[in-house]
Amino acid sequence: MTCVFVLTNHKGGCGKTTSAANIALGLCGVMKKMGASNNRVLLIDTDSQCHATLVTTGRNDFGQDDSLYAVLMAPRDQAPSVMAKVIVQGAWDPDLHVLPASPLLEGAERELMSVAGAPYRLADPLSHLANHYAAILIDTRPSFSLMTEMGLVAGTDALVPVEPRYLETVGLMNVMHKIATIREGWRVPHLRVSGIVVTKMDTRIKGHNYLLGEMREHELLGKLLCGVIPANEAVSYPHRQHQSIFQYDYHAPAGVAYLKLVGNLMKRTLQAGA
Amino acid sequence: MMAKRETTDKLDALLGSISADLLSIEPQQLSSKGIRVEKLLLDLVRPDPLQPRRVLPDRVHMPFHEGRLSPVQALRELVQMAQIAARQRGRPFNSPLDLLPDADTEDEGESDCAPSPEERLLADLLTLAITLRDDGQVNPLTVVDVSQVATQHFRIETGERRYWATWLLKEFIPGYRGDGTLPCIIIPGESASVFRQARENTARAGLTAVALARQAALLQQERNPDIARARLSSLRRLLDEAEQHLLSQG
Repeated sequence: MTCVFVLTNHKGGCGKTTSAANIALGLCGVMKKMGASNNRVLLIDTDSQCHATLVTTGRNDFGQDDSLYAVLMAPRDQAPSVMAKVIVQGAWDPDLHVLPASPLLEGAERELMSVAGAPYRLADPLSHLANHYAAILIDTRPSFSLMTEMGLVAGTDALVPVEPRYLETVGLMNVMHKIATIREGWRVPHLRVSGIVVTKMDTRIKGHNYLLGEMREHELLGKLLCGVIPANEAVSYPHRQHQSIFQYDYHAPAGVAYLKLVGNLMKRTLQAGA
Repeated sequence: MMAKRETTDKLDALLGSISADLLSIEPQQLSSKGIRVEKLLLDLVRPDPLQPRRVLPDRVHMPFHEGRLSPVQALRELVQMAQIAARQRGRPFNSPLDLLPDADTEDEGESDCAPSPEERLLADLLTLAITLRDDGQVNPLTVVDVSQVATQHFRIETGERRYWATWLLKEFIPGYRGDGTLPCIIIPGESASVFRQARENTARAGLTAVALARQAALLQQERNPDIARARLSSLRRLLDEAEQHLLSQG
């Protein structure tokens, strides 16, 4: 079963898109290095801001017929073939495939609100194509909207990026409750919170260190902590050139931290594939 | 110093509230074989568009089953239809709860004008909703598992009125303490039966001639040589009843 990692947090600016894009490319690269027979990775952008699409493809002009919108609006039996058609190759690596977002996704939520089974509109066609990929990453929008629900219903492993601050930790609790509600309510048996990624960590700030320490010591959260990404200019500057952190400066502390995170997720992917 | 300790305590309490259950370290197991009883999220359950005994008026029934109205929007339409009808009869109301009989005014004599079908339907659903709120739902609905690929979907075989009453209770009536789920007896897709639905329908009073005719048409479609004699007799009885009903209506 292919691992479907969903990067989610209803707080904006916590590093969902950056993490999703860098992890996707990282997984692709590591699998290539390992000589895996299938090293294709799919990145699905469900955020109508299209940032993940923009940085990984260099374009943000996908629309009605060539984006996730087309998949969601297609009749149920045609959705898998539409999905196969709209997936494009990423600019970073030929094996990094992208299902692009469109600003139209905003309207799709309203259009699908009254349709029975709307939260399964992504999971359903994806289940037909999932075996084609070694891993799938879904970037969600910063809200608990229908699009985010669709992403989580399609997922197996929720990764929650969180900044090491008190209110963000309160938000983390909400995210976990929401994921638990979706798992039970929408009957998604394989969905689980499988990782917390602490982002924008600044070791000079006492509060950051304290919170990270508390998380590490926590019986359950400590096990879930799968990556700590330092606040580093190498994280956001590559966006301007539509580059990944690995292409921009893989020696940067954040690059090294992302690589470590990819290694942790790789173990999970291999376990699931075994 | 004091403030710092307070913050630390709050954080400890927050982190202490995380349980293994919340994180679901072990994947949730869903049984999928045989008949079972489960609590299902309201959104996963949908009425049967072919159910002969329609709960909602046609003006709402059709757009709802065509996916143009959500359950809440459908109920809002019904409330608006009832409001318009009531206003035309000179007894406007604002809240749907105003339709329920008031204990103080109940004995003051009946209104000259009979309530419209929409008012009557809404009042019936409200009464059922209040019962569900006060006494809980004792009888589970019967639903057919029509899930396909990743999509989980359940079609109501019996209990559509309780479904609408629960939505009404959740969205329109204060005091709902439920979790948005319905207790349901889940029947596997291959065991769905229009005959079971017909038995439930014919056992109840108030089935209209049109509903009876729809029911008979459905049963006739299902008719094949493998159908047991008991089922055929049920079909015959229903056809006779429909005929009698239509004759009596002229």
